[in-house]
Amino acid sequence: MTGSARGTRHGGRRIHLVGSVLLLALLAAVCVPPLLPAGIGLAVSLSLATFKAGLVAWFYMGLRDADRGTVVTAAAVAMVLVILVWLTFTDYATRSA
Amino acid sequence: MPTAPTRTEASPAVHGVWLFVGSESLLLGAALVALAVLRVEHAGAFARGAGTLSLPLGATNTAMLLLSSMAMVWSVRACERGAIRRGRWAALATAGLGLVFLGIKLLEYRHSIEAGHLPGPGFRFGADDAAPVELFFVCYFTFTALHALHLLVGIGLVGWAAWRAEHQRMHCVGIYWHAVDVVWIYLFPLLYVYRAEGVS
Repeated sequence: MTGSARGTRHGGRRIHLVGSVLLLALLAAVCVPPLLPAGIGLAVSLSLATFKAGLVAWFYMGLRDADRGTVVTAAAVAMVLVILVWLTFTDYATRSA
Repeated sequence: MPTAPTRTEASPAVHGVWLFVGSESLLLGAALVALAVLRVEHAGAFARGAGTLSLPLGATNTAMLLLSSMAMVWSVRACERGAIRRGRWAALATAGLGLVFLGIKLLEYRHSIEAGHLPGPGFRFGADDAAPVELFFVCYFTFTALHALHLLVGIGLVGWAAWRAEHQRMHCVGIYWHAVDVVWIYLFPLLYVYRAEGVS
């Protein structure tokens, strides 16, 4: 067998089980942010959502075993979204009280 | 002797699906950012609107989608290993859980409509700031209906892929399914989590 051992395999059962348990635990963690002050809580909540999205993309969508072109495409999309969020909320961060 | 595909070998179909999902993500990402901005601008009104939604039903729906994604992964792995029957059953479980999600969503819509929260001339809400609360429900119905439509298309695709249970087809449909799941992962905190109870 030549080339990378991972190829187009979709990972072992244990890896998917760990990812699944982590996702369900993070679903339960959604109870925590509402206990925080509203602005911080929303940021924490969306950060948790981004982490969960990353887990889904890495383990479930096969990014872990994808070809480099696909990984670059996904990274480019993520970067553009980060710029969008950053520029939008920079407005709020720089407003005077 | 045939060799296993290397990491650097691109499957055009998979790459194409990723490009499609990427373009959808940019569009929906911008819409979700707009929703987040509205949430910040009308925090009190949005919290009151969210307080009328059922957090247990929303959390159940989130769990349904996560479980359906797990079933989709099992289906793809089964098809990869040539276990066609197992792959089909897992795909049908994925579609079934998606239908459960839609059923719960319809139940929530019924509750909201019966409470007079459908935006329009008949909208009613027992608070002074009914206008921004109506904006919350415009966002709620728009985003969740769009998501439900994508999910319905996904259920159809899963059924189509399950017909032959061929690995690459199932993998491509799986990527789309997980992307729909990711959209809900963001919608749930934006629409359900921050709430003020006791006002309808």
